Amino acid sequence: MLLSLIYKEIVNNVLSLRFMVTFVLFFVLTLASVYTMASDYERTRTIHEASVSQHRDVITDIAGAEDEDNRFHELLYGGGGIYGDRAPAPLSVFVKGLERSLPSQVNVSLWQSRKVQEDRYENPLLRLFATPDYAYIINIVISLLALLFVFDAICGEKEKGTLKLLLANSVPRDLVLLGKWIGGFASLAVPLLVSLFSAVLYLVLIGSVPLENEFIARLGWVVAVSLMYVSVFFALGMMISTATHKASTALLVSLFVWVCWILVVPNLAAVAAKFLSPVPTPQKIESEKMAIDRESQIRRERVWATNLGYGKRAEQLIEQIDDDGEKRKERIDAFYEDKLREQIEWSRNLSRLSPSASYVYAATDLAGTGLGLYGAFRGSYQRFVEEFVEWGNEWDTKYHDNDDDYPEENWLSPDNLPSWKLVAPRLDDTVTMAMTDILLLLVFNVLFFMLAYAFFLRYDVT
Amino acid sequence: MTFGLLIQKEILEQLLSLRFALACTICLIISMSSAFVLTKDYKEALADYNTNVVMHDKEVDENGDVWGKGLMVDRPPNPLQIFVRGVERHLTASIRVTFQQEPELESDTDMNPVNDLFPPIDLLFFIGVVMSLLAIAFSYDAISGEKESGTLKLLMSYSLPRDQVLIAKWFGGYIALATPLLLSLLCSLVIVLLFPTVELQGDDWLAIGALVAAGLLYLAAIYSLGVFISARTQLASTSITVLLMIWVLMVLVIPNVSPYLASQIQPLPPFTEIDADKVERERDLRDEFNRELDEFRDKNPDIEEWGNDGRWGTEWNLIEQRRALKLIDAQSSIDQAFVNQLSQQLDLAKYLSRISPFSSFAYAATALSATGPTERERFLATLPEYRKEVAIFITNMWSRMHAENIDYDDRDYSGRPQYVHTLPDIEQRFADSLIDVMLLGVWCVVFFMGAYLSFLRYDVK
Repeated sequence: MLLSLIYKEIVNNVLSLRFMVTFVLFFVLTLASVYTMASDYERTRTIHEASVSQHRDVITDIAGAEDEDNRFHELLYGGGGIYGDRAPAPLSVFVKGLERSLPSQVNVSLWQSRKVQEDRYENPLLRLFATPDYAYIINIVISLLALLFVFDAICGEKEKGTLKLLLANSVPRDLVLLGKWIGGFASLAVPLLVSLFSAVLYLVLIGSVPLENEFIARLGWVVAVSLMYVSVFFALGMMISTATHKASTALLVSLFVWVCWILVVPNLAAVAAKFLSPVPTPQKIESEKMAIDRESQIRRERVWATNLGYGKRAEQLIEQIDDDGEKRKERIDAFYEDKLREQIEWSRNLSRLSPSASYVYAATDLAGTGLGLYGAFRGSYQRFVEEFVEWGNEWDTKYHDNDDDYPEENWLSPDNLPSWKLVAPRLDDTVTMAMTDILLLLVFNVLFFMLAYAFFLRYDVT
Repeated sequence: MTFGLLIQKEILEQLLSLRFALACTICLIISMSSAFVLTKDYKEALADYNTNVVMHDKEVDENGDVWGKGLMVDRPPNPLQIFVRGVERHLTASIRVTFQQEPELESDTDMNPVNDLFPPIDLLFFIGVVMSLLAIAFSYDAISGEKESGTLKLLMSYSLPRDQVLIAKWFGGYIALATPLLLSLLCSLVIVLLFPTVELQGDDWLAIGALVAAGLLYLAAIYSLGVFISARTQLASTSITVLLMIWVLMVLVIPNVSPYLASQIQPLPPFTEIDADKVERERDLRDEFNRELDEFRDKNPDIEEWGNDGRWGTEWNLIEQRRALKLIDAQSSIDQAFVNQLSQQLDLAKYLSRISPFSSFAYAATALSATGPTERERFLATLPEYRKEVAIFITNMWSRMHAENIDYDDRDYSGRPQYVHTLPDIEQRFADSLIDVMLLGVWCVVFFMGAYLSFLRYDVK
């Protein structure tokens, strides 16, 4: 019974105009998106490699030169410093996530440390419109198409009169609904998977991404989450269809729900969190720290002004003042970090009212381009700066202790310098991180299906 | 039956429909909440900007080191970003201008990254995406729906020319679409004005007016497209399927893909090459500086290096000034060459994407509000000039201090150059948006003519 219901549903769908259109659209969009993102990835990787070797060349140029100590000293104190380069994540071909807004290089010297902003040198239109990656296609386009696929599943059949006919047979209503769900979802999922498969095939043929186990596993997770997300909309559309009696009403309601829920809620939530959990601006933090510096300076001057100006006691006092200042500055930094983390949590949780946000979080986390990458970037940048400063100061001491000459031979090589390691979260960890969102998607799925079921049981089929 | 009656019938039919009620609710909710949120955002950015200006001034006056740390340039937030957020992520920006280092916008990772995943909802998004979808929902069954319900046959049995029927339908639906939009825009303007810190000047009002007009034109184009497709199909369900596919491609795909496509067709050299060029130029100029210094030393053997008489320091600063000015020119001309290529790519991307009216609307809206893709470059391009002023100011000052033997603690930065930030004036903005507004007009006419021609030979039975 169920099988023939499913069969009927699939045949019905496959023969319709919208199936044709959807299939073609899926195919075109997926391939177009993967093609553009793959060439973008390729370009970014080429630039990354060129930049890595260029930064190595700077060091190897100095190494072995006659005045190598001198030139390196200059480099250390602001004449360029040393660089760390961030390689693009291979899965950014499918889920670009935060890759776009993270800097691709960091630069430290003993004079300053900074993240290089290179977006002056790329097309500014990329910032005006959303990135057309696979996650975007699923998130925005396919969710709409899924609703379009299913909005008349029940009420459309009622209007045509076939629902009456169908229920005149001795089929329980739950089976009808289940059959519609399975048949409909299958006829949506198959084109989706087929077009994705051809996109992956394209990637293999041009050989731009490494097809390693990790890559495939992550991609598998992303696809699974995508299917779950699409099925939320399928269940939602079904629910709307069982709650209305005319196909045109169902369509309108579906469109409105989609606009509000997918386009509006996550975007508003992200901004609303800014007001619910405010974070002081970096400038304010900076000015607070400057105030502490000034205060320490005044306290030091007071010590110098007294008779204790020189000697052991004064040294102790000054050390204490410096320590005090450092500690207070650290506390301010920690306070800022806390506030920022709080705000991120707020915006994350608020936006999870919409499954679109859950999907974005889960997909970006699984692809390694999400909030986890952002956290890893910040952490590793800070570590890199600290490590470099320590190393540089040590070098500088040795250099000065030895009459402005470094004591060892052949000490300079790109491999001996502190290097920047961006350790992205491992797959197991990302799955754990994404679990909340995966579960939320599951909850939405079950909820809408249950509601559809409840409405359909008391649906007036005549 | 007269033409007036016909329009009245259409308007009434729309006003009493479910979609009108839904459209009103959705418009009010979205536009008011977004106006509230974005105005608050702007207000905070303005407060930040004001603190920054005071703080940066105080920093220089109290314990300034213009030689080493330079001066800070603060970009004020643009009030029109309440309506069109545009390309910039941040409303205000501070940028350090020193004469040795190139000014650079710091890449800011100390921000909430969730905002990058979900861009804020502004007027561009509201009209461009939400309202255009509503325009399709209002028009998809204009002809084919009425045929299905059988009333079209009835209507045509009166002695009415078809063009009048079509025009009446067009106006009836369009008025029903534009009313909730204009009402909700009015409400959101009231919200914006309730915040006393927002000061809109006369030019801003002109820009807002033009923005709304461009939005209405854009919606008219989409609405005509809906009527056109409706007149080409026999079933309302076919027409909505086709329209939604077109909408998806037009609004969600074409604008986003076109910059990537343009970068394929017209690739740019990697920006690491620019860095290498600049490093080389800087090294050449450093050598030149040393040569000039040597020459000076040879000519004036009696001057003691960094002697107490200040003669060496005076001259050294003037040589340094020449080097700095040459360096700034060299760096900005290298940048300029790259930016020229980039703007060609940008133009190509724009032309490619203009096949979609949504792109045209987006370009017109960002041009009118001065938040467009070229705005940042326009700001950055003014910085080398200011950097030169800073270089001249500081080297002259040091040269004088050496000559007159002024103590370091008595340095006086009161005559320091001030940076003035300007936005393009309203005529310029109108000129920039003209081509896109005209394109929207063309789309409008083309789709309406298409609808007209299709309806003339439409089988009403």
